[in-house]
Amino acid sequence: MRRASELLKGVNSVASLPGIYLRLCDIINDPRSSAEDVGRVIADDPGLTARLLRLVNSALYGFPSKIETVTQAISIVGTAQLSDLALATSVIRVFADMPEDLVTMESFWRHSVACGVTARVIAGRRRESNVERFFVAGLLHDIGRPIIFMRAAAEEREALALCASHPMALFEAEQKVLGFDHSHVGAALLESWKLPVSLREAVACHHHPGRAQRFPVEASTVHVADLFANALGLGSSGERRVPPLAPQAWDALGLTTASIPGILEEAERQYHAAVQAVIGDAA
Amino acid sequence: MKLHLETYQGEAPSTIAVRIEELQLGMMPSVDVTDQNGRLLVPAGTSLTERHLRAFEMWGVTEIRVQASGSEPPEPAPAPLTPEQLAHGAEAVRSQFALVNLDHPVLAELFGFVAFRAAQRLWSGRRHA
Repeated sequence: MRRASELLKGVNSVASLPGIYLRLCDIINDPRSSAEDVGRVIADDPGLTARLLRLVNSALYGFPSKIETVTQAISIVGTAQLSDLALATSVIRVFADMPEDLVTMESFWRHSVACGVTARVIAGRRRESNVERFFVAGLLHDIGRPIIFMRAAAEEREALALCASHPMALFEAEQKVLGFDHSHVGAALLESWKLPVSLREAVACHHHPGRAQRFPVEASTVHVADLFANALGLGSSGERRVPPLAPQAWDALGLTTASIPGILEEAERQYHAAVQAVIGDAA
Repeated sequence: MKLHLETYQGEAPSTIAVRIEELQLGMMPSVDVTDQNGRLLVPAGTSLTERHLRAFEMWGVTEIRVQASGSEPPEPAPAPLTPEQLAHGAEAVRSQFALVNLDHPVLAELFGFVAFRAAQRLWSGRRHA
């Protein structure tokens, strides 16, 4: 039986993240660098600049006046936050040319964006300092799926058929057929991209948040956001039903059930803004 | 199984302090609305728009005080859905929830919301039972 990381071999298109994100990380992690250095790196890439400005000017933020420059965006949104948004839009472009016979990439990204904004709203309710980190974690939670579609399409088709005939979530069917599921493949991909452990653990444990060792809040947030996104039926990455809830993940977030309708309504609003801004030109 | 289908009918708040989830367009804050750092977001007496509500969400405002006289929404609310229409909405989304335990309060709340949305879609003007 294959291992999750073996699926990544030979997938040239996802072999590396656009260099720009890694350059951004280097600069942010360099104590001698300033926000202006970050601005210069982003401004070097006109496509990225345009996408970021579109995002920060979208209804996702609701700033009263138009943000015209990257420097302005950094001072308002924050350096770490803006580089997380840069990561989000870069990853979507890496996956622009995936096979679409099982799930269209548009539907896949719509579900991913729905999970991302829901995670962002939940993080906001919890007063997390960088809600964009949660947006990216949600956006990337199913990133192993397109790899499986590409490298193990026959097995995934079998898993989908299993779900259609049994009361089983798709990740459980993947486990049965492949011996691992998309969360393992996604985590292996993020590891090969050397992305932060908080993102990796949120992706790796989004169906089993209890297994998260270092970032249980990130994993629990994405777990709950995935459930909510599936319930709202905004896009799909193959799963057609609401996956099972790990009750301790909800408890870990410290939210009341009375807050759920407000979270869902805000997630719906942000979803429409983010779909436009994030996948407008990719999907 | 406890369903929360009636909760989303948007009953007009009768109190002066209103949680942001319950704010309606056209309501007027009775005092200036500020963020946690005291920065002014919306002056008292402003008629609230969609944009203001998003800004409250964004800047962590959880509750504001509104003028009781300005609390009516500018447009008449759509007629509330009947129990039968809500039941049809619930039926339409039930299979989507086949894998989860609807006795859990989170799933019950989620199901109620999604069923209400489905009912709204089914009866949004042009379609009839």
